Amino acid sequence: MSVLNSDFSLAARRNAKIRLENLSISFKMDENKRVDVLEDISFDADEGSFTCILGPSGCGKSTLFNAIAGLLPPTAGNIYLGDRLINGKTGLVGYMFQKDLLLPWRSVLENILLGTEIQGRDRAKSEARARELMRRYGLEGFEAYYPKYLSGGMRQRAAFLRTMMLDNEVMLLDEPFGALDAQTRLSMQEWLHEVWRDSKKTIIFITHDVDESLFLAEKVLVLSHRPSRIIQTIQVPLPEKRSYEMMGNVEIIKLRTELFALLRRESDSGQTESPNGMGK
Amino acid sequence: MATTAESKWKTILPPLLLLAGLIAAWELASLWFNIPEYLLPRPSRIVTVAILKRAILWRHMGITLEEVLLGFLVGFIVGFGLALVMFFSTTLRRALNPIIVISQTVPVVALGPILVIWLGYNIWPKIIVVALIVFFPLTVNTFDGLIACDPDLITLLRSMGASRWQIFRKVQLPNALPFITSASKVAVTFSVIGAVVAEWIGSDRGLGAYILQTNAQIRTPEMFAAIFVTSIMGIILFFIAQAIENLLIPWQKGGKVKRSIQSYLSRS
Ligand SMILES: Nc1ncnc2c1ncn2[C@@H]1O[C@H](COP(=O)(O)OP(=O)(O)OP(=O)(O)O)[C@@H](O)[C@H]1O
Ligand SMILES: [Mg+2]
Repeated sequence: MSVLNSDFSLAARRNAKIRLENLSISFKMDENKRVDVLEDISFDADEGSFTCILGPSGCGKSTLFNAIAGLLPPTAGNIYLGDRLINGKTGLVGYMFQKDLLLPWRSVLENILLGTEIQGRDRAKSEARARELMRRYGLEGFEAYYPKYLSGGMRQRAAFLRTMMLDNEVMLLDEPFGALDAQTRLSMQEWLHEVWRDSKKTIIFITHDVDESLFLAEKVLVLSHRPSRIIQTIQVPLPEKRSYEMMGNVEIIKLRTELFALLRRESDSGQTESPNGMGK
Repeated sequence: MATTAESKWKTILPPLLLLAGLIAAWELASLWFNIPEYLLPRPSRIVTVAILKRAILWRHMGITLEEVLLGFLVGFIVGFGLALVMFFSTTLRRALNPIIVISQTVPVVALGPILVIWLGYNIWPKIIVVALIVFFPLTVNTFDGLIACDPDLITLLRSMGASRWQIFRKVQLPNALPFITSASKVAVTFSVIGAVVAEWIGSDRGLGAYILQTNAQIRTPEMFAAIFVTSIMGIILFFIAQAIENLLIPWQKGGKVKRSIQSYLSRS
């Protein structure tokens, strides 16, 4: 118990890095049809924190990230990066998409450098840093390879390093390990957690895997079915440095059961809606 | 290493054997049925004549090659340019689309004589005929390649704060490259035929003109030698285009590692 609580109060002392105020997103399908995807979402992600967003399939998790990344202007509400209002502004946060989206005509190294090219940063310096990161994170020797010759885990790591090279203080990771097999997934989770502790970036991480969220996050936000609201916020009572043994902790198991029940309820309520789930 | 050499032979050998068999059959049939030379000369005779007349064939080939290359260049630039214009402007796309299609329904060959009247008895009518043949596949394929890009890749670049130009340069253009090289292979082959036909219409020089002259004088072996040279030229141009393609889009050609020359080519 005492081990678990040691890190608890730290979060409270940090500053909000990302702040969402009453964010709502609706898609207009045609004249009289509108889909409300996100409804009145408010939360803070503190500087250097790790936040997981947990929600049923199709509830609007990726939509939330698209809004934070500036790809989608909010229908209502505001998004702040620090004190700065960033509604509809791109290029300010690192965004790793659900798919790895590596460009097939670029080598792995060139893919990792893509963002720095767009930012117009010094090529030689960026390349040296990318090579160093590749060495540190198990991609050494694959610099010149085309992405299709990499394993799924390696592609994911390459996509992650590309996001990291952007040097944004905030990173949005959309189910980065969703397509991986269980074994690779576990080692990628440990890897990511280590990267986060090294880099002290603010990470927001989407998943619909309860265990993943509890292992990685300091704070877990649970979204409801569409129109999506935050229905639960949980502080994970684990220290910053974690191991899988801690997942057997009584409190974690209790949280796990609670989250499973919550998600089950949300998924079920989704299925009783009309097939495509469209609002009026 | 050994396996790739082996598989290379496996792909080259069957067509080579078939070709050799056909030529042998032709040779034997000519001898057997005693086909007169002015109707159909034997392959061995064609080769002998080609060697004998190599100086004159070489000269004509040079002229045709010049027309092909210049015509291809003009057609490529115009075709690529039109695709860009259509890609960047919806209005111009709507305006140009029907004209481009109509241009292909006009028999280009029929334009030859009028081009000669307009432009004179020089290389320009041939260049234009070749360019008219070349530009169409290039426009259509380049445009298709530019719009066929995965929208998620564009979103990725947008999320990084990329400009419209950066998205074009780093995603849409490379995505169109395989389409462009593939169209170029087709176009370069057609452009040889285009040049020969253009020479029939108004020229006294070039392989096409030579074919016409020798045919009129019933010097059939020489005519066949010229046809033979024309087709060799087309084949060589095709393989050059193929080699350039392999260099430009190795990621589609089973290349595992990006070589530095290719990295250099893809720098912005
Ligand atoms: N551009 C758009 N236009 C119309 N509807 C959209 C658009 N983008 C997303 N939607 C709808 O919004 C809803 C949420 O989509 P989103 O991709 O955000 O869900 P998700 O939670 O990320 O799902 P998953 O778990 O499958 O990744 C879906 O019903 C989707 O059809
Ligand atoms: Mg999603």
